[in-house]
Amino acid sequence: MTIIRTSISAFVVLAALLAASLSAHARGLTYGLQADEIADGVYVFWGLQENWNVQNGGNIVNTGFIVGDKEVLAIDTGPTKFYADEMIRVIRSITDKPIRNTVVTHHHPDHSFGLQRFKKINSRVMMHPEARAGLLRDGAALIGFMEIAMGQGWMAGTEIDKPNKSIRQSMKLDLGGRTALIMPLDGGHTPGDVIVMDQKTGTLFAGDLIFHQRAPTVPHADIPTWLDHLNTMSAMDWQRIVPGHGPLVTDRSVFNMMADYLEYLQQFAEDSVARGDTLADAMTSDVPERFHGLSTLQIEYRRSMLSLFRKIETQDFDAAAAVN
Amino acid sequence: MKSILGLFAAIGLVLGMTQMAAAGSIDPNDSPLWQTMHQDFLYGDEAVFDDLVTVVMPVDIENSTDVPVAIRLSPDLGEVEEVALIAENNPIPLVARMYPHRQINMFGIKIRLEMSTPVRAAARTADGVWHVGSEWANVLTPGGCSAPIEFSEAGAGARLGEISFRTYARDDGTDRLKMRIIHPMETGFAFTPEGDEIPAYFVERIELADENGPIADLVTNAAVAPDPIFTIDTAGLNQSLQINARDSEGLQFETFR
Ligand SMILES: [Zn+2]
Repeated sequence: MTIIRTSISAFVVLAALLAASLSAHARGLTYGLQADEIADGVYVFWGLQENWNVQNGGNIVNTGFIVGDKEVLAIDTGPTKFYADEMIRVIRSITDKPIRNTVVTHHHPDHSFGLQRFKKINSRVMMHPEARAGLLRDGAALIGFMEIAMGQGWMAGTEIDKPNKSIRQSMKLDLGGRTALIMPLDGGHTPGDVIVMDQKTGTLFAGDLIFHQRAPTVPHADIPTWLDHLNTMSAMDWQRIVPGHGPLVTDRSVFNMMADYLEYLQQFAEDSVARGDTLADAMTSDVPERFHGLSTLQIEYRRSMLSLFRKIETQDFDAAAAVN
Repeated sequence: MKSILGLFAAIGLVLGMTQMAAAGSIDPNDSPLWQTMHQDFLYGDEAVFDDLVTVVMPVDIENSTDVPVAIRLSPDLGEVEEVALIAENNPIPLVARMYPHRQINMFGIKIRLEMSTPVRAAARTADGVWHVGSEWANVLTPGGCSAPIEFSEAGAGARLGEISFRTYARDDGTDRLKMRIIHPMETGFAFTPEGDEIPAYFVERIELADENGPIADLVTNAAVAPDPIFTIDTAGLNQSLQINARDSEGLQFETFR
């Protein structure tokens, strides 16, 4: 009896997953991407305020493009082949200028996994060398992770590919009638972050250095450096910021919120190790109420504790080993 | 009227079932493997699911080679002779056993999970009854037992077997001992990039003692995560501590203070 009931419930789950991936197929695996023109010639594809799942196919990230008189610059490539193809189709429906360059802001899969498709249309794909290394190191494992999180249907045909060009230093790109500043701001969110500023409209594409109304992800982060980068960006001459996740930023409050949350994480993890908590204690601890408005908070908080706590705990054990 | 009675009956049934799940012999996780686990690892002895033993762990697991588990043992258990930690769907289901020599309120460990599974902590009291607490672990990144351990510092020759520990006075009046031992804890299921099988190699026994005598003995399997960390809460931990460990190759490690 027990066995039958369990296998039925497993079957129901499988059937639901299958139905969801079949309905994705029936829709031709489309995300329904719509380009939102947030400033003259600057467009954004807004992602959902959710974690990856079988319904959204990883459409949780903001990507975009800038249209100059000569050419187009794309910023980030989405989580899958299908996403990137759709992005390219929409861009082509808006302009026939070539997508000469594509900047991938960092190696996280929601930003980088569509880059193969941009290479395919002869766009030059640019990434920080550390981001390239991260993509080649973690890419295969992350594809497996995403297949589990959102179903194999969405991931079909998505392959890890290398960028064409490394961004080590700031550079300016003339798009015709407007200039994009491409600037490494690394070692904060990940070892290889890059931001893009459209100087004509003051639109800053901040990648995942800015999470707006959403809990930032820190497994590859160095929080003190990230806080420095927040100051750097805050002082830049921007009119609006497109965050990696969350809605458009038009005022400075996001900087305070992010700094508050990141400092809290760091401090809590340090205190937690110092008072001898276990990781299970830290991961199941409550988050202060002032952060409860952030989307995907619970899962990101646990993820953050896993990486931050273990890092600090390891240093603490190493120090103890010297004494014991 | 009839339908209202029916509703009451249905509520009664639901309440009854909930109560049985809270303390009884019915597996709250309804797992087909439980009977086998019960026979193999709890010797088929009487076992009750109650809340004297609780498993504290994150429910969604993203790093299946480092899953933190804390087992809380209620003082109401009285004398506990043995604690077993079982991850049912693991290729190595029995993760560890602990034999306390004094009252222990919490036992923390980090483990590997191959796939989503019920995680059971069972404490055998002096009357021979196992008290079982369960948690369902939803593993988002399977393969914790078959993944090669690239991110461990373990096996870095010179540090193999290095034991470090700290003690803490906790808010609840107990003392906490937290220890780490550098060890690869190879399961035997992982392969090198060249495709060669990496043989099983793990810490299999740890003895903890202070000046007042033994605190607890641990018997560990390779389902314990690399560079294991163990945490024990007990009252009146003496400042002088002695930790001895032995691995499956017969190497012995020790540290003391
Ligand atoms: Zn990111």
